[in-house]
Amino acid sequence: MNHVIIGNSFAALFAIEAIRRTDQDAEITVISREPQHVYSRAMIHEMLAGMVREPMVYLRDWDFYKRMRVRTMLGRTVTRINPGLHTVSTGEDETPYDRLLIATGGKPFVPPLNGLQDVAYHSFITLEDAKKLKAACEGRRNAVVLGAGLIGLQCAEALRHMGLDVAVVEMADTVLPMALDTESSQTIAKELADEGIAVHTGDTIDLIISSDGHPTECKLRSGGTIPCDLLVIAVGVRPNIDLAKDAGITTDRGIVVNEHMETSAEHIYAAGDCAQGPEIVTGITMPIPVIPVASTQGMIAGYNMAGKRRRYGGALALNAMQFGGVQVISYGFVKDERDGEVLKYVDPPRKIYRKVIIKNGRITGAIFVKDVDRAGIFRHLMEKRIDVTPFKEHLLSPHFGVAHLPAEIRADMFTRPQ
Amino acid sequence: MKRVYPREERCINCHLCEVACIVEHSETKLPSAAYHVEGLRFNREDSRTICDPAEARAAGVPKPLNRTLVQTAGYLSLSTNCRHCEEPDCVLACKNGSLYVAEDGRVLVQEDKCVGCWMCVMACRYGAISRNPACSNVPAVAFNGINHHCDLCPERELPACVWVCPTNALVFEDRDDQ
Amino acid sequence: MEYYEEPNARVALGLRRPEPGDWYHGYPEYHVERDDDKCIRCLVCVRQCPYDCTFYDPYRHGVYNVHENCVNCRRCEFMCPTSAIRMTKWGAGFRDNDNWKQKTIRTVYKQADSGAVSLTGLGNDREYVSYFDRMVIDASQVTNPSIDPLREPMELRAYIGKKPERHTNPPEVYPNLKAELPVIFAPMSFGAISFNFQRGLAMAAKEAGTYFNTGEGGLHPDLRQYGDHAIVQIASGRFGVSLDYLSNAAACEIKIGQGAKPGIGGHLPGEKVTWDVSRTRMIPEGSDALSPAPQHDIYSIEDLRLLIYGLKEATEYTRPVSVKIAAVHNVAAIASGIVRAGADIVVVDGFRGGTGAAPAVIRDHVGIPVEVALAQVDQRLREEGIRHQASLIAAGGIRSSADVIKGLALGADAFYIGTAAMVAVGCTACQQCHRGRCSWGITTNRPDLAPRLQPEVAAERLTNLLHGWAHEIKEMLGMMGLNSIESLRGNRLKLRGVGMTQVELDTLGIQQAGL
Repeated sequence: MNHVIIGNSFAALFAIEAIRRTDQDAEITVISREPQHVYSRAMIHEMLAGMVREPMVYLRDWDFYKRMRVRTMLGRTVTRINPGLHTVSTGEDETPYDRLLIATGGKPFVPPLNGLQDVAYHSFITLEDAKKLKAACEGRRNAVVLGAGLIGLQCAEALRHMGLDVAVVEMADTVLPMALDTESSQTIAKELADEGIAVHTGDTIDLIISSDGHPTECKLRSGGTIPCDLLVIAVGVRPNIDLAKDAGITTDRGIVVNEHMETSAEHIYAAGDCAQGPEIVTGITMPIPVIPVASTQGMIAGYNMAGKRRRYGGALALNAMQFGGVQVISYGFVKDERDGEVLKYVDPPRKIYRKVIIKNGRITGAIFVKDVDRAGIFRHLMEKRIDVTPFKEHLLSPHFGVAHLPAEIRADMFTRPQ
Repeated sequence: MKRVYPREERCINCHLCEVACIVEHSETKLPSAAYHVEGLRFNREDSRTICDPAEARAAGVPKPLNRTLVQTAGYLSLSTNCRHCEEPDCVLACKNGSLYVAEDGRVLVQEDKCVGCWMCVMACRYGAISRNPACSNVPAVAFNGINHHCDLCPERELPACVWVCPTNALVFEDRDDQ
Repeated sequence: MEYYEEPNARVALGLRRPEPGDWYHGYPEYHVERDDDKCIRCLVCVRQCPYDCTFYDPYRHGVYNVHENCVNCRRCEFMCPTSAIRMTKWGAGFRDNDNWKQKTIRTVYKQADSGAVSLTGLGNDREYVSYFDRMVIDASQVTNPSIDPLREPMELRAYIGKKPERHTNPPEVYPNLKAELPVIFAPMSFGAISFNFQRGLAMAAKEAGTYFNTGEGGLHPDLRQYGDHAIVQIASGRFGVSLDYLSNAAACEIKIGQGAKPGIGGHLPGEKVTWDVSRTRMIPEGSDALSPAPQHDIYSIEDLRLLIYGLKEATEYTRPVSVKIAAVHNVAAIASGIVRAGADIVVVDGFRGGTGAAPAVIRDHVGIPVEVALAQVDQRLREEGIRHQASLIAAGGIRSSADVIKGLALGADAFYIGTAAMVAVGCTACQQCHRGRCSWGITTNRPDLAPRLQPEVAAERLTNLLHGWAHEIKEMLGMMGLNSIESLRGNRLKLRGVGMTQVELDTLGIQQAGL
């Protein structure tokens, strides 16, 4: 069986491991636009800031591909998928496949901004982006990051760590509008402010003033002007679905897959940030671009490709992040409180915040600031759709743990091998 | 593969398993050194714990960090630790691949690679991972630390917690055929 | 956590103010000495102490004690992983006074504080004479060779029950208990003891081929499988008594009295009546289970005969019926009456017997030693020619196989052990059984404490104890030149007395050592 994987990040990685675990004789080929060894995009901000050495960024040892007997075509771009012929084209060459996995991840969304076409700006998605940004920091003083999502803030923090003055501009009213609710994003905004990062929420860049191809100032919609000699656009990431679309595979926002990670085309699978499958809390299909989802989808796709029929149970939006010494972990939908019972615990001096939203006995959103020990148990409660009504009053306790769960659930978790 | 399984009806909430875990994972294997001298690993007993180990360190109250945790609710208690899953949630969530499944099936962390992002804490559905501030691979960050979870006592035939339990509430056995 | 609260416990880090209503706690009896250097603040002792005595002070990062609450149960010493704890007496105590001793003064304080009856657990701890300790056993010498127990079989088996009047063909056989050694576990009720301990007793009884006694708390449904090793009790409260209860057992025992508290009924404080206990006894949860003093349908010896035969009818004459009395004055006459009333077994319980809860003043001052009671009962029954009609079981402070040998020689057929069984599984004799907070999980059913004693561990330790005693009994029999306990039973010539008056020697029916 000849497996071809387009992409070389988390989904691809776990797919490779799953295929190899199932089928020792399978041929596996990885084709990736990026030339590097498999690395983590989530690590680039730490590398940018010089907080970690470059080897920390790579997900597996240097001999990984050799051990897994994977043929690599790194630094090659797939231009077209030919579903009927069961081949993919990379420029002149055709690579045949028996099974194909599209794990192309996401690509940055760059909004049309006034003056953007005249300047050199940076994205912050790939390792290459980080290296370019690092080089560009030389001699620069004022960084402006458009977008206060996870990527934007991580970039901002890294730049600040390197000594630049940093301003973050975000259209929504709060930072991290997708992952956090109002209270927790206020805590994070304060941490950022304490670090010396200027945060402009409810605002956007109306005009970029430049000179000689480099930005000098940004005019904000709110009226002010901020100095800018380094511009990073981190507004959002879109699933990278062009190849699939061009090949006639069903796409929505992402590539549509079923519970076996199969796309609408025969023998073609998709996994990771480029795919969309059902989300557990709502049942709606949507892309959930987080690492555990990508890894699991990649693994499931790999098993299915290798002949082992495995089902993917659905994705849960999960986030873990840390800014200025405050850790936050969130699950599900933390802002949607309609028709839900909201349990909250707040300890402002210690920056502790814990909120759980329960609808029809099931947790639909949970968020933990600072007090994150054993938060993963909530993941279990949400993924298995466990009715938490019998022990709901214990959910906010810092001592909440498996002892509060019903005995059968606990027995299932701890008396059987997992 | 042999794992540690708790029997909650026998647990008397004494926490000797935690003590044994700490002593076993210390340098000297002496209780007094493990607790008083070596301990930069923190976990205070009072409720609404000082969650931030840097803060705890500053408060000057050292107590070593155990890898197995006795979780309680009313009269019920049981000692919980890493299940060493076959498809570990933590490995699938690890941001830079420092968590891995060893050849004998144990789930371990490369302590010099972990950057303390806590994706594993977010992912582990058993709550088996704690945060160890004694080590940090990203010292620039104010709070940091690394993944800390049960490693099934690689230097012992029988894990320390199982050995010490006075009521045999922990068993070390292979239940894979169930 | 919901814990039952002790009303007078003072758990404070703060100021200590001597209160007029709390003299008993004002003078601690014990001091919990902790070697601060060895203490690793693991807090195991804090979690293990059920008497609100040990706590952790987060400000001093150390473990401290409310010493006035310490009962010297030694659980913290036992569990401490670095052996950092040692119990000592608290200072000089009260001024030395052989008349007003420490305990005497403290008891008066306690009563003045509370105005209530002072309860206690376990057996009489006062300095009365122990006749066991003043008797010595014969050994074989030149003219009467000893027997080597490793070479010759030793018969330890005891048949307990009525024996036939004379030899007939076919023989008259009455229902008897068959115990592989003459030691049986004493009546300890479920409620007074934990379920795990009772299960351990049942398992050990089965393993060793002897019996256990349910006490007056009924037989828990999960222990029905051990029915053929169970002696079930019918006490004045009639807890748990049903036809099923009787038929499922090896023998039935009518409890008239108990050595620890003769003349009054059983007492189970409400704190110890958990859901399971309430279900087994068929009484409301949390209510004090006070058995009436007399059995209200036994006001004469004829009434007793009615009940004995009532039980025999109900069990179709397939089970021996036992009657248990406390050893008091005129115990011989009472025993004689009981035997004539039809009992197959008479149990005589001496004043050293233990209890789960009894007024201290009764436990310590009422009743007589089982040694003299036993000797007199055996003597009287022989004189009246009815010794064969019932077996005699002695109870109340049997501490070792030596006590068993001496008791056999005085005339007993078998023995009940209660306190010895508890000590075998970890009891440290702190005498707090009545409070339902036993640190060892022996005399409490509180769900956080009961798991401290695991049934398999209890059964193993009890079986070990019985094996050890059996072996020692065999050695002692062989040493005396006997190979069967039958040859020792009532054989007063094998005993001699030391340090007793002539009257004492005569009462016991033995001679002075040297003669």
